[in-house]
Amino acid sequence: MTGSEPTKIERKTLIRAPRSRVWQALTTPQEFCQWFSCETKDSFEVGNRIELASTHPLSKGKGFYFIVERLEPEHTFAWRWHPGSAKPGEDGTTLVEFHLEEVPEGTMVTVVETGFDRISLARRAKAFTENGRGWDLQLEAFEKYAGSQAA
Amino acid sequence: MPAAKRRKSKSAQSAAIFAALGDETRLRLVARLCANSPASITHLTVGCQISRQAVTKHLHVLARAGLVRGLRRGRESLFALETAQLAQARRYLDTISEQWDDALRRLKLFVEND
Repeated sequence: MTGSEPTKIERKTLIRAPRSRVWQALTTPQEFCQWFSCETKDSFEVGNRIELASTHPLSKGKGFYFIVERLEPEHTFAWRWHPGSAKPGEDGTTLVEFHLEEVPEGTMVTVVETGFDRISLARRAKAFTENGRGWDLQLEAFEKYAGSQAA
Repeated sequence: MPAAKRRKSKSAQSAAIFAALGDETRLRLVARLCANSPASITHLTVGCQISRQAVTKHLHVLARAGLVRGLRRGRESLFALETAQLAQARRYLDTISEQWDDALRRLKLFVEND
């Protein structure tokens, strides 16, 4: 599939800074946490499971994690996650990739998220829009109810 | 379909939707139904490189994901597009896209105002 491929999200932004500077902001946990609005004590290394807590006003305190998949200096930073998933490993994950490219004006950052055919899209979409555990609990209760009704 | 079951499909079926659409033939069938729905299996098979049986099988995969629904007109078997499911999935993807736009905006501000 191409163009309006429904199973992939791709967004870009141009940053007026050298690629090395952008790479540092992406992959240094302290810097990452400032713009991604979260907290963590873990270091970003391939294979590491990074535990984070959101500091974003919409989802403050909510925990999530990702597993670092690729760290190719100044080129690609990739992780797997399924924020909002009730239990780790219960659902599939999506792959998030940041690609950096040098352009005359600075650095083009592309973020690509794929794998939506393996996860609950509702859960993924609402992970950062609901406060605390409210949504998880609601969804769990609802799925239990719906499951018992459907059986 | 009972109401509870219908609601369940809304929250849990989006993954099935993308799995169903991750196939060229099924995507083409959905595109055809976007232009003309409901349509008969015969009509949907015209111009396809595959048999009527194969088209029927693909339509059933789409039906299980809630993307199409089968109906009958006389002796003819028709399939109609269920746009609600697709629209719901689209809305979720839009939400996630907006979250990424937000995150990239914050990254840009963070680096440029350094």
